[in-house]
Amino acid sequence: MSSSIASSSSSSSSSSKKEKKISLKTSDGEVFEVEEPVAMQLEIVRSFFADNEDVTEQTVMPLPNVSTAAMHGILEYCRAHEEFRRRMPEAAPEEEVRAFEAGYVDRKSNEELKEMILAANYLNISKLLDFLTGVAAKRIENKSVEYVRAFFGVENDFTPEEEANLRREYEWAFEGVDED
Amino acid sequence: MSTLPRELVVNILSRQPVKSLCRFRCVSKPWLALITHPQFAKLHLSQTRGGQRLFLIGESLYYVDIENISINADNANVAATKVVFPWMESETELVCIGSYNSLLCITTDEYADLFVCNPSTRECKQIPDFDYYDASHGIGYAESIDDYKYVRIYADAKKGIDVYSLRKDSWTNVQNDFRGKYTLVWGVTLNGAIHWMFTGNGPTVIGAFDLVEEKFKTLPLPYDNLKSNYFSYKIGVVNDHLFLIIQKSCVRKVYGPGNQFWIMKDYGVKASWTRSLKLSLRSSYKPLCYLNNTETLLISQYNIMKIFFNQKDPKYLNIDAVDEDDEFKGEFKTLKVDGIDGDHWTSVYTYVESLASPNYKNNFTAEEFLDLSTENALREYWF
Repeated sequence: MSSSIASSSSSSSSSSKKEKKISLKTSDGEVFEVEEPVAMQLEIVRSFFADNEDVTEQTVMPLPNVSTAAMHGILEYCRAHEEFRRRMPEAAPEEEVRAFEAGYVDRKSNEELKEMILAANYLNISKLLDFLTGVAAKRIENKSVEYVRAFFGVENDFTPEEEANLRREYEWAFEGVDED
Repeated sequence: MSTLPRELVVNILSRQPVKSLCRFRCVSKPWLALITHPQFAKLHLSQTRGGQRLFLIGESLYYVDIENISINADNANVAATKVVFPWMESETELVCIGSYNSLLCITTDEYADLFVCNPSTRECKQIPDFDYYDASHGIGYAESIDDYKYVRIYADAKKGIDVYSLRKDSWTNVQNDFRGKYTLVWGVTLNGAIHWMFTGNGPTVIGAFDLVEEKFKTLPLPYDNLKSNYFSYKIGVVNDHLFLIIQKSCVRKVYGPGNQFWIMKDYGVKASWTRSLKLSLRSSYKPLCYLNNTETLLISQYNIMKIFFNQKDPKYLNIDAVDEDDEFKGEFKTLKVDGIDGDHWTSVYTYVESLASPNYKNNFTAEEFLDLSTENALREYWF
């Protein structure tokens, strides 16, 4: 694990004395300086810092499976939740959380959503992963077979006869499906 | 384009409504194998926690999603969707004679044939050598041996009890040592046992027929020594709890409990019987379920559904909503069901939305389509 640690002499990381920041480097080389409580929501980061005592404030943790675009999305979610937690430590303001989450995913395309699911899975943020897979589930639930194949990149390996038979058997399940 | 790993595909699919999964069987062979796999059915049920639905029998069959019931100041209404089973022919009268979880037992042609059906997937299985008369019926699930069993208990105890295993596809006859006289048209299933009220020479008891052991045991009632000639009883299940309704059955003034609605909070524990909503004797209400984990109780009375609630203090809804003189203290609304032919239905049941299959051999499709001839290969691929 320690072989993957890169050292950084980035000047900005030492400037803020009041709030500890953690540097995370995405697959395309961009370094994000993230407030510690936000970064610690990423289980992979939390366990990295818990398991390695020799890491310093200058340590940049590389995240080779996360793109910059996905990282922006991940941090927006984690920062919002840290803010909810800080304001109301006892119980999250449920309505506000719901409103934030609804607006948050409405702007994401299917491709962006999948990329974030992969990132949340890799970073091991169970709450976000649960939320995003739930969003994906809602997105496909009333869609056609063709839409779902395209969404998951699944190849149709039925012969036309086999597929026609299956469709006939479950004809009623094809009623009232959304336009693609 | 990003491709999600299989465990995340399984995660997303396990949150789909059953109707969507029936459609998604056509996506690919591995998807068909996954969706028809019993392990996936269990995962799906635990993820979705099985939405409660109502099943209505009228001239046709219908279902209602309980989550869609809307209640406002003026009315309560919900839309019904028609269900057509493959074996259904028009003009035959359909009667439900038992239900458990996701499966319903439906007879057709004046009790000539019996089908075990899952209304969510519309999958059915016909039970061979079905005989309706002089017996009471029930269906249940023996979890430890993963088997649905249909049970027929004869009024004449000497004829024993017929048990049909859906897994083994065969009948067995077991001795009925219980020898009580049952009081119900069909048995009530909970906790791997089918329950009947029994009366006879001794006190009234609840007999629970264990589906693994295929033997009766008894459950305690809230009162000891209740005689059947003064009271009548009805048991049922509401939100995974056994309920009991005690009604005075004769005109003559009798000292003792009447019009009482009890719920057994801990299965099998006498002290856990809890007095709940009092029900009117004359109107023969049948409690169906609590709405979406609230204290609002949905009940049916013949072919009318009512919703009991107390707007002022919902917490106390269960207690004395109806007083001893059958006067309603709590409030109730009549639920209007839209989309029913002729606006008329005759009976209503609850069931749980799930992929549970009455056909144990259904997995041949998975093996046939995927070159995964062993259970392990399929497990390794998806789980």
